[in-house]
Amino acid sequence: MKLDNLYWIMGILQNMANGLVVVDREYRVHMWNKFMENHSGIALEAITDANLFTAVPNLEEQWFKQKIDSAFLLDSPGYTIWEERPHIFKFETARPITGHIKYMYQNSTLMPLKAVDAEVSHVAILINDVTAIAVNKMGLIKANQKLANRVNQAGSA
Amino acid sequence: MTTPIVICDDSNMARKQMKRSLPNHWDVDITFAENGEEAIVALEKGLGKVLFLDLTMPVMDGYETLQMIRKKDLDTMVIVVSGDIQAEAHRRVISLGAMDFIKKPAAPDTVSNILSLFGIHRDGDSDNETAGDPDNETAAGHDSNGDNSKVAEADLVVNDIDNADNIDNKAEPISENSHQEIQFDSYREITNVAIGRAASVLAELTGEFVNLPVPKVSLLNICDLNKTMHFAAKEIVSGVCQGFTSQGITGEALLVLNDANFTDMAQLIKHDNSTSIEVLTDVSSILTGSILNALGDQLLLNFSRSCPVVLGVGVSAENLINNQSTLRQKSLTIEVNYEIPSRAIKFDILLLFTEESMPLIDQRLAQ
Repeated sequence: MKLDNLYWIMGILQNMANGLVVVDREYRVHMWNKFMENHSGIALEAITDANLFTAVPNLEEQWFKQKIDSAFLLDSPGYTIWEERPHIFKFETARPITGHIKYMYQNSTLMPLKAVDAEVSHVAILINDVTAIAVNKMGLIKANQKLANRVNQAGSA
Repeated sequence: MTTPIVICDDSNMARKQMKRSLPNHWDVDITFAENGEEAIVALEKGLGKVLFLDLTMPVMDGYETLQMIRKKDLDTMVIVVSGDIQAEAHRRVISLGAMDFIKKPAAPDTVSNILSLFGIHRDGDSDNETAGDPDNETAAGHDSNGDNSKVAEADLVVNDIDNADNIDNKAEPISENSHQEIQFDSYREITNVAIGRAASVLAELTGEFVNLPVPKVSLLNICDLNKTMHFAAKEIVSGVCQGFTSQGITGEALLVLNDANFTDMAQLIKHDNSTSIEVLTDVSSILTGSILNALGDQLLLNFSRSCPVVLGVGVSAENLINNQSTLRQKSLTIEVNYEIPSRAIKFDILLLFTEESMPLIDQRLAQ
């Protein structure tokens, strides 16, 4: 790959509307993109080489460590969805004022990364903001329940 | 020889910034004016051989001031210092007799280049005895050491111009609280620079001149948001909203347009057969995009933005924002009413910040 390409690929990873974190086996942070910086308020310089769970204390440590460990072990991508853990990182939503939801709903993908020696040396954690989808789905479930209740009531009457 | 100069800007922050960007060893006698009227009074007293003049001001704006200077045939050299960087604004002020145009916030190099270009002051001209004193422009803006610039601020604004205080009270409903006044003044000023840059992008794309208003800054109850916009309650509008965040400074940028303006707006941005949502998102990405860039530059931040969300299309203004169960009580609201006079198009940009953002913005501006 050309060096130029590498430069703009870094630009994309830095500025995309998804969170990107890379950790090693000791959960030390090696990449922390702009999305993570801006939403967490933790600067890249402050978190580089620091332990993820020390630097971000309100993570659900045991659960998330397991997810990361299994990505290392299985050498295949792992996923977490908002239905199991709605807020991995406690970020505010993109609409803090006109919105009605406090925290961002998140899905994540954990991708094992191989070093030159073909060993999995790092895991990339990709955070997706799925607030809108989650809110809509929850609304739909609620509406369906209401509808089902009405039908039941009508049936038993 | 001491040069009498007038710095005219409605923003206290901008006046200080301007003062700081003057050459260090220029022997000047500075008079501050908060609007064109005050500047004219000062010029008539012979207090301004050079006038640094803002454009967007209440009472008497920069264009009117230039006209007045011409009408009264006042002897002064005017350098316009403005956030309105549209090419047309530049052309207009030059045709009204200004010597040059400096983009806000004024960079010291630009100022000294212009001063030397017009033979007003050359770097290295040692026109005062204390030249060589490196500290004579301190961050506080007051030159305690050396008498090279006698600041006539207090004298003039308070005593010499009797109605200065009255003007202030009328323009600022918040003047009881001076801390908040200073705070809001700085928000207004950074917004000024930002909307000026956004207008210049829009003007370049459309070839039309955009009128720049003075942004309205307030701490508002969110449930009153729909009422703040300059649209009537029943007016049919459409709006789009984009979230932004960086280092705890978080908010939303809303663009609201009257539906009657859609066709004109579509023609303007050269979309002949586009849907209203396309026009809305396009205008939003032009304006909020450049406003957020310019705000970020001034706060030394690079905002993350979310994908735009449509708040409503063809709804009455009073229902645009669903404010029934908001999470917060208040938000710092900066309202900008843009106008494209040649097409009779009006639209609103609302910048909403969380209350928690305010101390963080203050910190960054104090740096």
